[in-house]
Amino acid sequence: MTAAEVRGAGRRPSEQRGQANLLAVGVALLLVTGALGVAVAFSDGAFAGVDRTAGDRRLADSLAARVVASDGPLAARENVLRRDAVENLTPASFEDAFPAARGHAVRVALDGHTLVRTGDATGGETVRRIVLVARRQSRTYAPAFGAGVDLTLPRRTGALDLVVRPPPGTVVRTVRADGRIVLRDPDGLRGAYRVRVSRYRTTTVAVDANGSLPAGSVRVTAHPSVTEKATLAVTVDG
Amino acid sequence: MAEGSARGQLSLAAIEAAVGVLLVLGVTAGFALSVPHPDGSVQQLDAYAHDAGTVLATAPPRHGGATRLSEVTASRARFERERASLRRRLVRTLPANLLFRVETPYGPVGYPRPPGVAVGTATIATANGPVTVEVWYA
Amino acid sequence: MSTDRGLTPVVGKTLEIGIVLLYVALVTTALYGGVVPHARSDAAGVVGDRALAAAATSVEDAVPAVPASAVTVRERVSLPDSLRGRPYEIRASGRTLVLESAAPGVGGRATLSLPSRVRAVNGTWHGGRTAVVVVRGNASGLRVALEGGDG
Repeated sequence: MTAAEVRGAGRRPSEQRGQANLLAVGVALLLVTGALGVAVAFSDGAFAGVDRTAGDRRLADSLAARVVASDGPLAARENVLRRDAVENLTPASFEDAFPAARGHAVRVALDGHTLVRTGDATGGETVRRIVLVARRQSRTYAPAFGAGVDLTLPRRTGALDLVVRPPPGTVVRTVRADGRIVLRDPDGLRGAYRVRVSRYRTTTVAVDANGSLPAGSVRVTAHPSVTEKATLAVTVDG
Repeated sequence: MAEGSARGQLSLAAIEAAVGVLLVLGVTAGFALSVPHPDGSVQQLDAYAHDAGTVLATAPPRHGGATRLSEVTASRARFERERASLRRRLVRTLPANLLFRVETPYGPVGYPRPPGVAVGTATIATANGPVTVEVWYA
Repeated sequence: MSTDRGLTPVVGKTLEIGIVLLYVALVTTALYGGVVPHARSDAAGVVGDRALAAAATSVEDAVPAVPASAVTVRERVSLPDSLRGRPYEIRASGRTLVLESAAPGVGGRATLSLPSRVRAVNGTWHGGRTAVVVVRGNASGLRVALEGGDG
């Protein structure tokens, strides 16, 4: 073994050590930089995710509250929407009825079916309300009236249409609803009338006449509203 | 001996790198776990509770009284009689993923409320006392 | 031979320390120069959005739901004192609330959803001062004012 060889043998491991150190430091810094990059990307993502949702959610909440409010253009009562109003919505009529929706993409859906859509609101914030959708029906009853024979309507209604055509010789003097006189004419009632009754109880109709009234002489038409439960969803994006 | 100390230096740097990476990732995890999400779910639950109460307070009763709610709260006997149908009505009215509890002056109707869950509340005044509707996600 | 072994580790360690210090300085500058201010502006923007949404909800809730012959409503509204350390104001413009601030990244508009009985919305709220929403009117017309009074 010469001195040069010994020197070479001594230098190589320490140079290796030095290079290995620097390489290790380099790799370590690279790893830390990678972790930092992940952290920064994560924080950016976290902020981007929270953006804009507060304003959209608030507008969806406000619009939904206006739709179900009792003084709204689509509502019959609080949380009760009229079926005819709800089925004939167009984007223009919706923005006229709810001016706050102008300039935003809004989608209104009932039980998942879209009623009206202004712009693309997918991915926006949604607010849901429970509503009843009311449909007006007409039911006509024409039983035979007489002393002690009354008609009790099975469903509640707010108004009654009456058509009085007594047989010749019979005079219909009064008509009562729930004991309250709603029509009275001592000379005899004849023709078509509309009376208001209480919506908070079922109505019993009684007719006073000086003779018997066969079926068909007094026709009573009620307009009960039939309600179905539905979920209203208002989605706002942008 | 030289190879052993070379290995020793390498593993030390590796440990340092691992500690550094763990620290940074730990801060990131703290970020991820501690950002509160105001997802508006309590507001939505409150809206559901308010709507359920409104629908009950204006629905026609089964037998007598002005509305279903006034019928149920008219007397204890009426309450006991109408209790089951009130529960069925609430199950039909509320969406399927909600559970409810209604506190009346005569007792509760519905499910027991689990602790620690976000709850929406609404209170309706009736002639015989307040009725409180609570809803939560099942 | 021994001097070689003794010198290289010291130089190597010094180089290591230097590289790590340089790296820390570089990363700190990069973060505080770009990422941190960006994150602060984002956070201030989000807080501003939420404050604006809460203010709009307070104004909408203050309007009574049923028409009444005489309406007087005064409701206190809580707002943050400042956004990103800078003052801000919430101004009524038409039927919209506008958030304005000198802070970068902070701003926004919120459309108010009010019944048609409401004729006008006026006034300004300043951050850090008392904020009160006042509704006055009758069954056919209501006026909403953003005031900063005591009450």
